[in-house]
Amino acid sequence: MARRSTAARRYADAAFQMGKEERSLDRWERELGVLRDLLGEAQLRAVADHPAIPYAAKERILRAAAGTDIAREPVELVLLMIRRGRPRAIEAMVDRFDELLRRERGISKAEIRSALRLEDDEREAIVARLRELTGTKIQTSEHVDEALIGGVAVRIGDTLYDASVRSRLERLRARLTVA
Amino acid sequence: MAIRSDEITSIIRGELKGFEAGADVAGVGTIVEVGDGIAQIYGLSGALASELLEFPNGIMGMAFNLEEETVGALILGGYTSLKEGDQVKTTGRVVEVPVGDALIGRVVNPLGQAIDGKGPIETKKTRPVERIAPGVIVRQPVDTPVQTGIKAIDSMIPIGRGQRELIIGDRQTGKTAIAIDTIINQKGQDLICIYVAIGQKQSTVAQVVAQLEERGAMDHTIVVSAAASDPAPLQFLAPYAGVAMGEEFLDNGRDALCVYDDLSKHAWAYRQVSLLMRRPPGREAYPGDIFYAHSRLLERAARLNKENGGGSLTALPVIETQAGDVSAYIPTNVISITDGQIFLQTDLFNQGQRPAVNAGISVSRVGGNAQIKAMRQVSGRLRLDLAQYRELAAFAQFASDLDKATRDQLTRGEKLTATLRQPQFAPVPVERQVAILWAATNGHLDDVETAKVGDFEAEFMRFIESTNEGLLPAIAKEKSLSDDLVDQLTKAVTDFKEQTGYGRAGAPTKPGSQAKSKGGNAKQPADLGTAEAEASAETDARAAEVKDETEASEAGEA
Repeated sequence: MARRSTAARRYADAAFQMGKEERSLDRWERELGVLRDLLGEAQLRAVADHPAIPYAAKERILRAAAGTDIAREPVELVLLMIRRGRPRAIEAMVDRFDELLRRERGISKAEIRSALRLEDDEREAIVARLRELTGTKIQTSEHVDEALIGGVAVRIGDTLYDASVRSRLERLRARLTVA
Repeated sequence: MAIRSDEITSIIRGELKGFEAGADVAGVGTIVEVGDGIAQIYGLSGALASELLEFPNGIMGMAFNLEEETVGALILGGYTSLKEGDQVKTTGRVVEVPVGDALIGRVVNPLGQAIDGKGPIETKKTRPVERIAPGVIVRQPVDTPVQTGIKAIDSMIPIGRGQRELIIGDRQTGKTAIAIDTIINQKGQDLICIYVAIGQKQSTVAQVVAQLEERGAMDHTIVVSAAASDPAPLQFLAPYAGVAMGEEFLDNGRDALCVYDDLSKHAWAYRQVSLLMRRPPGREAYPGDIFYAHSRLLERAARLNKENGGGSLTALPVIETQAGDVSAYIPTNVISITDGQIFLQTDLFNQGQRPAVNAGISVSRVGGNAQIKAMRQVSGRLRLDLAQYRELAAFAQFASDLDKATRDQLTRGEKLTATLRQPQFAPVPVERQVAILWAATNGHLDDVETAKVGDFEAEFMRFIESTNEGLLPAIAKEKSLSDDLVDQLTKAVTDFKEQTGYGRAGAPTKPGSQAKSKGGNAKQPADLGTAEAEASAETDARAAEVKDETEASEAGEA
């Protein structure tokens, strides 16, 4: 996870407040996702980032690419960020928006790393326990990480619940070498 | 002795038994930037101010800047193995050091880990390095002296237990020597000493430790060392670690002394980490809170009242000035924080006046209350005479024809100054200081050749011990000079001078006899050699001319 710029956060906060007032958060979420994917395209990104291309040209290209399905505000937001010279912060802005949305809906995003692929019942048990710990709904993403040796490590936000064999071995080593 | 393998197994089994195998919950973050002893960490949203952080490979750090999305951390140790993307964990503890008696006699780094190769330190107790100083309610005024064993300091700039006395001077003026002598003089007494070396050469620290060991002073001393090669964060932490170790004794009703050698380098280290952390620079590029960094450290020196155990923690910070400039930023700061300062001067040092204490501008704002009465009785006169001497000496350099009172004053000042000379590693017990200073302030040394004052003192002490062995212990016990003790001292000094031929008491009062009784004036310049010494020799000769009358009156007094 890279460091988000402060600017991205401010733009996301503004968009979120607007969406919340107009009760259009779902639409904002969907459309910002589309715009992010759009700018993820290498060619379009190169255009948006390029300092020599005038803003008017960038605006024309982006509006054409976005089409007419997308509401005015998300497009204006992205254009505003390009105009202000912050095209690189757009992705971080969308991430932050998603995070605010999850918080609003009481969902925690849990990144589960395990040494072996999780079975369904294991996943259910982990999610149930995490729900208990955090008191929120859990949205999971899974990775297999053999370096853990065994067990699982779950990261929710800035908290790490580490029940992996590797961390236990490390703690054991610390304990034996200090004494 | 061979250790049996099943013993090892049982030890390991014992260790494993208590091992909690549950999940480890910790706040985590990711290094985004690392270098120069600091790291920027993304995440760690739950970190506390000055919380201990755990980097990979067992390296520890300290949360220093808590920002919106990142934490700026000081890395306490080698940082070369860390890289961008490494995971950092919180520990839930603020930075702390081991404390207790197990540390005495040891050399440790600012994290309390042994660096003297004598094995790990067996103590379970720790204390946070940062703590708010004791408040007003639990304190009491300073009333017990810290005997430094240095005549110039114990008499004129007395230090009390719980006081903060600054030692300030240029490089090579004997600042550390004063601190070390003070530590050595605590041998066999109840004062635990903590010597914090900040940013010094490893060789210097090793030398200090060797000197302390040689003189048996490590038995009551802890050395905390953050040498010049250690990262700046460790140098910054060192004095706080030292004072935390001292507070353990303070809170247990014991007495401790903390020497911070030196706070100039501490300020440099703090400036370095602050600038790297992008805190705004202020005067001389020091951060805005450099004053607070030192004041909160020195405020932790205290004398607690009876209800709180009556312990004390004395602070002896050291500041190195550049070319005698005491009006630079850090010196003025620390001067204003402390309860007095001992000024050491290069020119005095070069004149052979060692310790090179400038008695005129050195002060101790609270220590006078802590002096024993006997010392107060002799030191009042000493201060006055020296002050007058300094005033006259400057002016008398140009005057050829001086009246007798002036010459007497000059002679007295010279002898007093010579009396205050003292070699390194030779602390003098307080009763001996009282005896020799009494003799000097009462004019018994006025007729002794200046270069021989040191010999006079040594022989006089031997004389007292052999002829009146109860006298010095009586001064130490009564702690004041009663009329009876003064009579005994007078008798001792008169007898001594008669027997040894020092001065001219009892000798025929005629001009020229001085040279005879002292074995010749000509030897003197060879001892000192400097231009100033020659000048003083001239003064000596001048003074000698008028000795006759002086002696006559002196003898009358006696």
